[in-house]
Amino acid sequence: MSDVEVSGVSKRYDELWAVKRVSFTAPAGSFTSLLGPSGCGKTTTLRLIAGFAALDEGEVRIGGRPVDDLPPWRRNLGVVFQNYALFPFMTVFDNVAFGLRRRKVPRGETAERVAEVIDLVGLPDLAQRYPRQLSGGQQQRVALARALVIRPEVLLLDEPLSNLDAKLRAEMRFELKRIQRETGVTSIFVTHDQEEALTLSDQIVVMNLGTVAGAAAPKAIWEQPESAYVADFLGIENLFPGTVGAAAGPDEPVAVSVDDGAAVLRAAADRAPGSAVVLGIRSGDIAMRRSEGAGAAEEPNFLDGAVREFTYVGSAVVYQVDCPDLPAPLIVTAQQDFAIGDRVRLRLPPESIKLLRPEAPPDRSGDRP
Amino acid sequence: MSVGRAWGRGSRFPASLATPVLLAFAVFIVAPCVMLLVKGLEPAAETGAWPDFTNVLGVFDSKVGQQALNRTIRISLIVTVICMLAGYPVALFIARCGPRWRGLLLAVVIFPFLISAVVRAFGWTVLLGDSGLANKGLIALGLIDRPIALVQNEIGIIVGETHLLMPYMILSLLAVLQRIDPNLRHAAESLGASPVSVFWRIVIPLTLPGLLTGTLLVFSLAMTAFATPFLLGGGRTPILTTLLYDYAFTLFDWRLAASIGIVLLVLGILFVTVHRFVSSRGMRSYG
Amino acid sequence: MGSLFLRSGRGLVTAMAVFWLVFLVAPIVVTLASSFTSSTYLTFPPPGWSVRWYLSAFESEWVWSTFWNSVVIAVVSTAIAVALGIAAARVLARHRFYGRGAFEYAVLSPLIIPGVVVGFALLNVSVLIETQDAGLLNLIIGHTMVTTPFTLRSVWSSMAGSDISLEEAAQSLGATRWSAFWLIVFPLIVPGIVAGAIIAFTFSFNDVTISAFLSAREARTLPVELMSHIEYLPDPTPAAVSSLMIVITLAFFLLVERTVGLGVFADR
Repeated sequence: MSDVEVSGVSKRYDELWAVKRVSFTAPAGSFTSLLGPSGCGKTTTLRLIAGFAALDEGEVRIGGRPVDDLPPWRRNLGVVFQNYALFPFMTVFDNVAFGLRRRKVPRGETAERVAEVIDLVGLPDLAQRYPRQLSGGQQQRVALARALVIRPEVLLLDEPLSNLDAKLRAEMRFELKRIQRETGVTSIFVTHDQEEALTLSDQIVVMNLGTVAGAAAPKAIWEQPESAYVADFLGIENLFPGTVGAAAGPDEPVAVSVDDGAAVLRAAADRAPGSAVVLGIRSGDIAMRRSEGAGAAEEPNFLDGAVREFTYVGSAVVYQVDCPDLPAPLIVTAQQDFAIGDRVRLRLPPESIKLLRPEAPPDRSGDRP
Repeated sequence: MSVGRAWGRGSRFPASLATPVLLAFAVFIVAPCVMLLVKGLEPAAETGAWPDFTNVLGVFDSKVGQQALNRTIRISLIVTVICMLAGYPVALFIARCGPRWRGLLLAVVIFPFLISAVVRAFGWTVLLGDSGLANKGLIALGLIDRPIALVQNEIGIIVGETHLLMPYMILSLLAVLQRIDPNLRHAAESLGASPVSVFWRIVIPLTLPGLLTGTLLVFSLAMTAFATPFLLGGGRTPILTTLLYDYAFTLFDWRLAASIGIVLLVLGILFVTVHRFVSSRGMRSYG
Repeated sequence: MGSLFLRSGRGLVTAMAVFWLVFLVAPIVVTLASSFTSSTYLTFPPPGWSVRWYLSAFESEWVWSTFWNSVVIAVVSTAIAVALGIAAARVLARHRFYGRGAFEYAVLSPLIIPGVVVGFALLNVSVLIETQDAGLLNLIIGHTMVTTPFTLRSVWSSMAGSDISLEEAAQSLGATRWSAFWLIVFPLIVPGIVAGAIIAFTFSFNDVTISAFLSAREARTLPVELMSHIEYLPDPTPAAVSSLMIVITLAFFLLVERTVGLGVFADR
């Protein structure tokens, strides 16, 4: 098992930096996800690690050894591609045995190891079939088997689940987790799906426009995302730019006034007065009830509003609520039923409000990364 | 974001692959064409300076050259018009056929243009000769009372070139016809358009880019065709290409031949440039 | 009323289409039919049937010598054109570099430059370096250059179907760039190579224009030789030779149709 150290890696395509000073470490035996929207540089980072593209600056070390001068065929990495990249004119057996044959592994051992890995990935006896005769999930497993059979130092996975339907995707997620645990192979997984990243990873590296926007364990990144960008990508529905006011006292919540709105909300966080922040709160953390009296909400962190629209999502109902004090409608998840136009009173608990670092998008052009 | 990506590593020049190819084309295409330019623009008098355009312009000053140019343009125009008028119904007919017939008819269209020009010219010579089927047919119809000359003249060239180039027109039209979304027809019909007006208002406008491509292709190939006019035109109806051949092999005036070559080269490049310009504009307006 | 108009419109289209489709096959059918004539002059329809002109063709020295010339030229130039086509297709399909457009333009230029110009320009060069009597060599060079665009296109379009990730997968599994190409890419582009080779061979075998300029006295191709025989029309032997050329071309045409489909001709 080897760890992967990516330090200050940059790659430029034409005028744009596809990847800019990206650094992170994937500890040996860990599962690290590179999470971000398309075009954020996550796949490029993976390709730089694999050696499919040459980096312009920085260094990649695998097991402490710099690999930048090694071509892909000498790095001993397993790669699973988004489209699986199975060799169409070879049987499942020949696909899986390909890497062993390049390594001149004896015939008998090849057959043994192929059988072993086919068993590991949970494939039925399909060795003589061709890729086009397999289902998407089976192709996925063949791709995994082919990458694992060479006993790679690191397993690189480029959105391997994105071409599967929802049910199969959930199933393969468990399978991936099991196989990674059983083999203990250091894995780097590229995805744009936050749920996939949260459920699979030991570490999530969130990427934005070619840079690392934040890296932490799933729980940490879920509970306390560093920046508004990360929060947005992790599905915090309500984000409002604001300015920190004075705290009532030490250990007291600070008051944050929402920009372009009258609302002043208290948040259980420590920030210097006058600093610009983004207030974030999940839709499920907001309490909503019908507002009785006509009087405006005077207590802190209460807001009045009216239901504008709702969608039923099965386990709950998601409401869009217009609040006069906020610049945009609030998204609220609730169990009770409200009708469009209902006047409601909302409570945003101070401990649920996250104060996030606003972020200027990084510049991708220029001569220097 | 990585499905179907075609680009490989970096943007370096793939020297080991590209060099042999470039070398071959530099030595055997570019260099010869440059030599042709040098030769064609050689000064006529020993004191003159290069480039001397009098030769190239002189091609059109001489009676023979002027006639050849006029004949080339005239024949090309006629052939293009015939190909347009004939290609359209053929393409429509093939597009309307079921898949089995369409494959067969497509083969009928494509196969002739693989056949050697000599063989086709031979066939036409037999068909259009004094005792050929064409003359017999015309006599039987009462249009003429004795055989008329249909080969070794401009008629022969026109028939031969039409046969040579019509497949290009048909294929260009078919390419756009097959891309027409059947929903457009249904949409128009659901909006109350009769099949006739669907044809005139939907189908015809949508095939215009293909018609344009086909027209440019046919015209440019007609201007530069050699074998067919050489074999079916006889000695007394030279067009530019056959005149070049005559200058090179009968009169041995290679400077004049090179001058015609320059004219043809410029025409070839001109048509491709126009075609690229038109088709890139066409793409934009037709999505 | 509308439907009557429509129906007569359709009938008109069908009638015109049939006429022109017959027009397209007419010279081929006539050549084939008249080659079986029993008479000593050419006429259609023939007064009687025989295969004597085929026997005459097989006994003619000029047919055999020029036929072999044509075959040698077509085979060698096709082989070189395929090699150049694969290299050029690889460059265009996989690499992005400054001047890529110019590269494409250069390799496809024989489709732009009129055949007479290519033929005459190459003749000029061979006269300059005094190789004008090496007819076979000149013909091979000329045919290679004008057929490379065909092999390029055919191979290029078959490469478009093979994703770069297949090669990357092979490389990550331990295959060098070369072995990744031979083991993974090559098997995938074989249909394109075959189609391109057949088109190149057919073009070369049937070409008149380039060959008319580059044929030296002792290195004439079959179509060029046939040309001089047609001019005089001594007997229907040329009809038999022409028919044989049609049959050979038809064989290759059917091969393409069966293996890769007619699409390779349609996408110009």
